[in-house]
Amino acid sequence: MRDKIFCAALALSLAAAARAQVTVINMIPNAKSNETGQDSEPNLTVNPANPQQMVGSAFTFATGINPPNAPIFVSTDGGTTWTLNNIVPSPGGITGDITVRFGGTSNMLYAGILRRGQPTLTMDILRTPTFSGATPMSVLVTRTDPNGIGVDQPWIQATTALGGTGTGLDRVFVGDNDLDEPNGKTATVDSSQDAASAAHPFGFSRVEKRTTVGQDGPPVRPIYHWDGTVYAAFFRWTNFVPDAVDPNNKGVATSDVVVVRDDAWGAGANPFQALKDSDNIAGKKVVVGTTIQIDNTNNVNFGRERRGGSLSIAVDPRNSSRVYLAWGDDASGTTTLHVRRSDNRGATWSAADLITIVKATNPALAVNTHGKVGFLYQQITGAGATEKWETHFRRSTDLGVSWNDLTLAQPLTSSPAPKGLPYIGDYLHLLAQGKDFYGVFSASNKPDSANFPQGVNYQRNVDWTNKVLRNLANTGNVSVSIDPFFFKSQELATGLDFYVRDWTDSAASGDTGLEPSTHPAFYATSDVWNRRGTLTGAPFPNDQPANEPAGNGPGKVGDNWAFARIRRNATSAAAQTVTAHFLVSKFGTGSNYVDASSADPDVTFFGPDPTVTFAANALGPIITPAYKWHLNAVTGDHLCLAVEISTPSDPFVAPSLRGFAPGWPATDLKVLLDNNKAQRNLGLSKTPARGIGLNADYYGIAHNAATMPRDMELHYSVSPEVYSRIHDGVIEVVGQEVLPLSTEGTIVLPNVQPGENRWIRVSLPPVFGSPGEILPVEFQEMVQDQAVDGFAIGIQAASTTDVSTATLESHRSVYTRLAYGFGVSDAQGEADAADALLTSTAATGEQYAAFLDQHLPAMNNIMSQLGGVLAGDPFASQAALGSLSQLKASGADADTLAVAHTSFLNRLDSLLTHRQLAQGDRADILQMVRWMQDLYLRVPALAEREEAAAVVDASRAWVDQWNERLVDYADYPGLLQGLDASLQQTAQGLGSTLPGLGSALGNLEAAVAAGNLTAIEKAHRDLLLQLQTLGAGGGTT
Amino acid sequence: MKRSRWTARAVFLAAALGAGAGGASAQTLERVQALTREADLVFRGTVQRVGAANLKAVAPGEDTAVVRIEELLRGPVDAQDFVGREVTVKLRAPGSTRRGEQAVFFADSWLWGESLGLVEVGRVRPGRGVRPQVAAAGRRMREDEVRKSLASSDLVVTGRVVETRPADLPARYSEHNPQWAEAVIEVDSVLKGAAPGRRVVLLYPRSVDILWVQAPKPQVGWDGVWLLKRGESGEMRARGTVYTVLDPRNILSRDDAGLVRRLAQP
Repeated sequence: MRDKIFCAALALSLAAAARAQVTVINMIPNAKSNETGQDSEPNLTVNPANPQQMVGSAFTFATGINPPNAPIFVSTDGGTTWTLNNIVPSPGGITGDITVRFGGTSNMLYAGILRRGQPTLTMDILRTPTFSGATPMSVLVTRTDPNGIGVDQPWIQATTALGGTGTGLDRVFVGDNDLDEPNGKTATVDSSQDAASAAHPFGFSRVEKRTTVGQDGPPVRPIYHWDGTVYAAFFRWTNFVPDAVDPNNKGVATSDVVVVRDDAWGAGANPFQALKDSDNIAGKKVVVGTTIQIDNTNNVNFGRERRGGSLSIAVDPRNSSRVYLAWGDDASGTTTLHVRRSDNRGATWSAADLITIVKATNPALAVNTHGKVGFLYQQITGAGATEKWETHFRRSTDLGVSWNDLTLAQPLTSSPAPKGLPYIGDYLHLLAQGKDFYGVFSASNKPDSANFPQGVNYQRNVDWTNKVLRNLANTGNVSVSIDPFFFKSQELATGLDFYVRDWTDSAASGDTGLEPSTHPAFYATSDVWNRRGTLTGAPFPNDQPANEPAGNGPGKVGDNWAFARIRRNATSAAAQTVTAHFLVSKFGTGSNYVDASSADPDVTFFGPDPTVTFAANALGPIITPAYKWHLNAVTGDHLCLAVEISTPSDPFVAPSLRGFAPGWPATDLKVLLDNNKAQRNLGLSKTPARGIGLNADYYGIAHNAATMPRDMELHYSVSPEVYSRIHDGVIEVVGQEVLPLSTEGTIVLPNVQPGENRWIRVSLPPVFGSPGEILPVEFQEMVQDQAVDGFAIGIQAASTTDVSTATLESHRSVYTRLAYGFGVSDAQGEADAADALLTSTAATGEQYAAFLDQHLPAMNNIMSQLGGVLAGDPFASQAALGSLSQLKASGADADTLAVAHTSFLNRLDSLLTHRQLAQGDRADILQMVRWMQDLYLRVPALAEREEAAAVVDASRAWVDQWNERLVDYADYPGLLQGLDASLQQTAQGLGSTLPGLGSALGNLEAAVAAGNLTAIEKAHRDLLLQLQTLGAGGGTT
Repeated sequence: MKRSRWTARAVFLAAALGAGAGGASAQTLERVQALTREADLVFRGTVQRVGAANLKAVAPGEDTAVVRIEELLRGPVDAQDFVGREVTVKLRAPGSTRRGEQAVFFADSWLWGESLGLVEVGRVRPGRGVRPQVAAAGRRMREDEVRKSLASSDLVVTGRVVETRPADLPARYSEHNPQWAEAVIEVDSVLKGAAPGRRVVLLYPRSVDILWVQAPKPQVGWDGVWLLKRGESGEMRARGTVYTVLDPRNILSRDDAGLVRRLAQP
């Protein structure tokens, strides 16, 4: 199409690799080819729930005469094309300042604007659920004082809380300069803890706590972290000297650069006061008394742009303690940008600049999920007729020590002539979504390829040969003007991107490595699986690797082999070696993973992590060599398996799954948003393919991996075809009501405490089917309509021999646990007998029935030896054994007996797991530390105590170090020993309120002294449960 | 939300397209005029494809159609370039059209992308009477707009700017500081309200910041009808009664004095 012209990059091939990662797009749509406005001061947001969806803004007029709404730029194809949608209410079809953000997972678009046509600065906060629809955005808040001056420069941030109190609610923060604040403390953050709701409550906080010259500087920049930390940066003006010649437009401000912080979404009674300076006043003065030149003119000495408010702040998504700050000042006599970093939540900052850029403005910082820092800014270079506005994008992979540099645009400053202010804008924007960076800047749209070293794509009509813009009809030229330019920097070349599938539907349909993954069930057909031998199990029906339940027991009975199938996203000329790291957790949802470093006595991982090597141009898939791991005798064999793959250039996104459960505390950054991670939570049980026998019972665990009590909501679904065959099934939350199975439904587990486990039973009827066929019931853990984790329970149709064999394996597993973990000596004979039959021959139905006939007396006898273990058994194991005995007595066939036998074994196995977990679980150690930190942070009765800061700081540091693999399970007792004095202080201070606290602390101290990690975890949890009662659900992560 | 109307600078093609009314019933007349008031664009078009769209941002469905604009009867200047082109129309009623249908579409501007997206507010069969009806509706809308401006004005005068000067209002610093200035108007006649004397002082923003760049910046010699409002902000009120004019549509040419005078009659 002649109207759409692509400007190919003409630069040297040496730079090709770097350029290939960056795409630059002129955002003005083709339909607006006649456009000549000064579309400056752009902003951008990418929908985290669907990164193909983007919204941009700029000072762009809606087409028409005095239209009531201003436009936003909309893209639904990842920024390749843009459309203007006039849905921002503002008279005249344009706004004043405007910034835009999507909520985290809500798909809601928010905007902060200055509405035009008002006598005072009028800030509106807007919202729409349909950013590409025709309905104007709703006005949530209007802030101004008709008797005053108004509110300036709204800078919006939005996300969805992914854990803790208010999980699923949209948090929105708007930094602004409220010039009507009567005491000159004008730096303000407006915020809502539930902006997506109908009520959308908003309030505001004066983040300036010190005296000023009468006001703060214009920009106030908030930034959040998923753990609830919110920072804001602003300029505190301590003096202002108007220019003698042009006092209305120019002056010199003396200013501090201040950072404030809140640790709980800014939701408390005294928000943004967590970070204090030496004067004990909230707000760390990163820089004191610097000089800022204010120049509100199209100054030819500064590229026709005004100056006076360059500020940006960004936080590392992996670690809320690490924060970067960029600001502009004139202390050196030249307008200069500075970047610094804090690694301790803003308490101290790098003494010198990480990077310094002279004669520059519009800084924007962002940090991606690998900790890479992006820095976007605009700089004036050259002089006179060759003076240019250069837009630079720099990145650092070493915490800002060194930076690469890409020039995105470099037009002359002399064209076009300004049409008012700002010329290119008082700000631009950079953001990180996963590994990639996205940005927007405004610049001259003169279509000269030399102006765009990375190449550029225009949608509007262009004649590249003659370097002119063309009108819509392509019948005439259009004047050069300022346009917004979108860019994306894909940080990992597809040839270096390796991934493990989260799902496979068939040989023709599977995960292609998209982030986030696009299949709702990412745990049932993923490319990580277990086998009981060293063979992969190939060929795979429907291209889905076949998982085998883990074995547990001494020797080879407990030997297992893990596999992962790895792919490369695109060919590459380089060979690459990929490392696979495996982890396991208990079966269900929310259970925390352990790995080789966990030194868990129940699970052993052998040898180094396996690797696979992709030859040049090889895409795979390649299956890892069999990786041996061993499940000890005391442990149940119902487990989840996960893998994290990495290469030097494509490491998995930290933190590891170790110590975490997918979904908590952040909605599946760990699996869905990282194609280097995959997990399998599929419990399968073989059932006779002949469709006879009783219902069989299967169990999964729902573990509250959050740090607050909550109602856990599980949504289950069954495909209509599968449902037609298992419609007589039932679902039970053990201890609650039994519900008939439907095609879908929701079950709620009320008031589950942190670290608490509950069991879900699925009882499924026998089915007719082809051997190997799987009929699953899929469960998703829902948080405010968002699936954060899940598992599937399924039955697999099998021959009588296979069913008999599987039943005998379960028999061996459960009785091995009884022998080793519960001291029931006779149980070993049962395990040995099953093992002998399994190893001697394939167990036919007749052999199995004979086995059962011979061993039922011993099985009943063993039950009588269990004593206290059976007391209050919520799984009714004894009754299940009774049913099995009755069936045997009645002469039932092998298939029927095997189903009843399996149900009994599953019940007993769940009971044993229940009893074991009651003694503690080292997999939950990290969760306990996070919970302790959370309690001392959120619960007022704890947070107000003198020792709270010590507990919070030590816990947070330990969690940070854990995520960086600097501390391990073995360091847990040391952490608690170090906090003993603080915990004693708490116990003494709250002893009258919580009489059992002292005793609980005593138990913890004793457990720490004994050094048993499992017992320590239990004692720690008991202590935290008591502290939890001080506040009703005060957690966030 | 009530939509704005194309007024003085809109393309009043309808007026030039035919004066011959002919045949339209009173009911149709009312309907055309009502739809014109509702719509940003009025055009004669032919439906090319139903259940289709030619914009990526629009999902094709029962409520979308691709329509070729044959003739623009009313709309912004930029829309004139779409005559002869296909645009996407979101239909008011799903499934309400068919391929090949010719109609006069009344639509609101929606999306500007690789093509134009419109939201239909109504449709009538084409006929000779439609064009003058649309033109008449446009004239009435223009009058309505002036009437509305008049109603919200505190003082309406005819006169000429004889002096401009800085206003020197106190203000905190903002890049959006309007930088108020004063323009002195020598008044010929008062069409509404009570002028404080032969001369009226109005405040106007000298700033070329994005918030104010379109606000009128009177210069000595400007002559016309001035629809003035009392200054509302605290800083203005502190100076007593002051007037402003922030919307360029509130400065009319002397040719409009008759219209204003007529509309100002109680």
